[in-house]
Amino acid sequence: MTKLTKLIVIGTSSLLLNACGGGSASTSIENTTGTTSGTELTVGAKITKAENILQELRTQALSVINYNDSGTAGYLDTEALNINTALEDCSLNTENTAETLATLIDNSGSMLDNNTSSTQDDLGDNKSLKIKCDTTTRTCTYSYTKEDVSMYSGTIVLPDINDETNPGNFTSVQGQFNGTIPVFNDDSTYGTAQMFDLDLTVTKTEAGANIEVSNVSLAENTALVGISAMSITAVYDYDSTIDDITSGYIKLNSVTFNGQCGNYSAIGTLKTTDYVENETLLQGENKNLLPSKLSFNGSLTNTSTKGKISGLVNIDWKNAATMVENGDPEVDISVDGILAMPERPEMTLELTYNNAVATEATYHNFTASYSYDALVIDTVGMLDKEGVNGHITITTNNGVEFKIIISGEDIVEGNAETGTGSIVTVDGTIIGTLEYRSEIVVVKYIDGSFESIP
Amino acid sequence: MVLLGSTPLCADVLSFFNPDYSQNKSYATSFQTFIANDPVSVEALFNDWEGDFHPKDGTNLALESSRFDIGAVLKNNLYIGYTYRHDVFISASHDLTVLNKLIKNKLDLPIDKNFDLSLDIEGFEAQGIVLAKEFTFTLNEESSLSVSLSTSFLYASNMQDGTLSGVASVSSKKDYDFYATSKYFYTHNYLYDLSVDRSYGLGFTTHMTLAYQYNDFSMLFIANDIFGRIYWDNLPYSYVEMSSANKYYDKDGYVHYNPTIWGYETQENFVQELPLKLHVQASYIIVDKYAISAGMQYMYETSLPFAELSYMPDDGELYYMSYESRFGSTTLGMQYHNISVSLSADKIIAPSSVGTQVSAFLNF
Repeated sequence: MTKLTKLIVIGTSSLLLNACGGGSASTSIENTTGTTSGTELTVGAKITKAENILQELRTQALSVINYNDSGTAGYLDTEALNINTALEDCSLNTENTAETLATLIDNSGSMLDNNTSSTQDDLGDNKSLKIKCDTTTRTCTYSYTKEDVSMYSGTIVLPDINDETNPGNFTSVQGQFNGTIPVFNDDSTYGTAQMFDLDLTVTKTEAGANIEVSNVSLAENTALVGISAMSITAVYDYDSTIDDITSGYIKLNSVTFNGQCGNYSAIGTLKTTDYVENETLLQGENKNLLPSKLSFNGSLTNTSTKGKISGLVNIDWKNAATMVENGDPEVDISVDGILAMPERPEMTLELTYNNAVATEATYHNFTASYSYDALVIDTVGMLDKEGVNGHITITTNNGVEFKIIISGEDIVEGNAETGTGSIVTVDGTIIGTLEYRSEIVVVKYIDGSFESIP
Repeated sequence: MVLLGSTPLCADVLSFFNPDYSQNKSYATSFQTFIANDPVSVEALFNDWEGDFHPKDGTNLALESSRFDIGAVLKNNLYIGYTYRHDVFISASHDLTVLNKLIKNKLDLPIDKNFDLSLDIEGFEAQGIVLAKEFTFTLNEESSLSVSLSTSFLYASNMQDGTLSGVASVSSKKDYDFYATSKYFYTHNYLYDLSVDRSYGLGFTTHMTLAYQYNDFSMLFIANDIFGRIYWDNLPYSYVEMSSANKYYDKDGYVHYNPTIWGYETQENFVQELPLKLHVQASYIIVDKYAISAGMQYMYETSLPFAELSYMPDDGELYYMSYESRFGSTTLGMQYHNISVSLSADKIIAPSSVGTQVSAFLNF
């Protein structure tokens, strides 16, 4: 991580601050210094206030990410480790799923096409697959048996469509799959059951078809992945003279997924609201269509601790239509997020990142607002296109301000006497400067004490 | 007086001011330097600690001791001259050297091991004026005693005086956490890059030399910096606590740190005490032209015992070989009338200690 990246991370989100367990070791300053009125804080008190803010951010950040002195993991570290463990314990055997589903759908489709009402395939070791089909309702039922005892069964409804179907003249077709399927652990025994569900509707439109997929789920033990709703638009040009599609493309409109693994559940919806053409990047693929506006709204919940991360992300790819290969994407991003940790106040985070700035067109700007309890921290920053020059200002609702100037990826060290460079103020009084100690950025207070930011 | 009156110091390890070697009405100059450390070679010490690793079980040392003197011995054995001195002494715990070796070479760390991190550094760089006076007493026909007293007025431009203490706990073969505290006076901050206002010190120190001879037996006792002080004005000082909270991992999965640091930095007046240096040597001419010596040098609570064999084929000619046991360095030296030269090292390839000494005088 570069020094600048670190600073931006610090500036935009204390959630991502690298935490430390230590506090500042300030030397107190006499309370006579800097007192100008009965209400104004002394310089020493102002330094303490700034130190408290940094320490508070560290403490809060420590609870979120990275390690403190005792080696205790932060919340996200712990969650990441636990998720890893959970994923290891509940992996899905999707390779076998695909193979089994293909067998069932192919066999059922063939039976419906051939008006076959029932079949039985000997699978060896007293195992068999029985399928019965009703060509009127285009419904088939299947059953995996062992020694004539049904082990896994389900229903398949296949649409009246096949390779020979004219794509220009159907109106709507539906498909459905509902049932349990076996996981073959080896050749001789059935393994764990998987549950698979799928609803599919394809509706003819003037330009092509709308594809709606819903109730998709695959479950095995404690693992579950699913798509509760997915909408895809397919647009194609049908040439009736040759009875074939001459060109076409598909657009993903939205997909809502859900997953469960151990104590973790995730849900989210991805929407693409706008597409643009970019012939340079796609070179004829999918009619050169690129998604230019996307949004994602989702959450990850630990059902055991009730910890939760949720947020809404909006992405506007400004130059999706003109961007060339290896070019720089110009993306506007906004994030509204909430982090709810067990036994801790909920933290909210609002981020925006914009490319175009009216006054300095070559700069990108960003804002961030982070709050929990009564503390609100706002950040406004501006960086050039390369992200190596600019400035960031972090203000708190209790009068602390960090003004950070960046040049050539490095922080411009402050001068407390002249007020130039990167400085820290409290209620307008300069009480510290940002300086380097080797590669480490520290706040050096005017009483001699200092502390590193990350 | 062959061994004492006209030879340089024979151990050739620590640098000493020894006005005894010059003659009246002469110009004299000498340059001495010695650098040594326990755990690695001198080259590796300033690089990546690769190669042979041979730390001591207890405290591990690294030292550098150099000085240059030029002056004149006036009549009545009064010496006045210019001196330049550069001394650095570092002591570190065994654990610190081991951890440093493992980390620098990304070697597997011993899981669940707690490393004791302790390090002391002292040193200074100064130049100044030396005044010395030698008194010679002939006790009888068989014995004599000479006493030299000297004082230096020093102008110091660089110094180090600090301690580091802490602990590191290994959590995996490639990961550890640490916490440490440093208390540090300096003119250049080696803990981290920090520009500070230039600071200078003024001081003084005193030396004494005793040389005694009885027939073929002789003894030499030198005490340098018996009471040496350098007074620094507005010397930078840092109190720093540091922890391993801010870690990251390289492509090999090995942990690295941008340590989290906090503390305070200030400037204070400081009195630096120069460490006492001692040289004690006893010599005996065992047969014609051959002499043996044994002795010890001492500084910073560290003793450097040595033994030596000398061969004097003719007046004004001396060849010697000495062995110092603390760093295992061997010195080969010679004196030919007004010039003496020596070289020291513990081994030829990748030495952990090296030194040289050159001195000369010219009568006027």
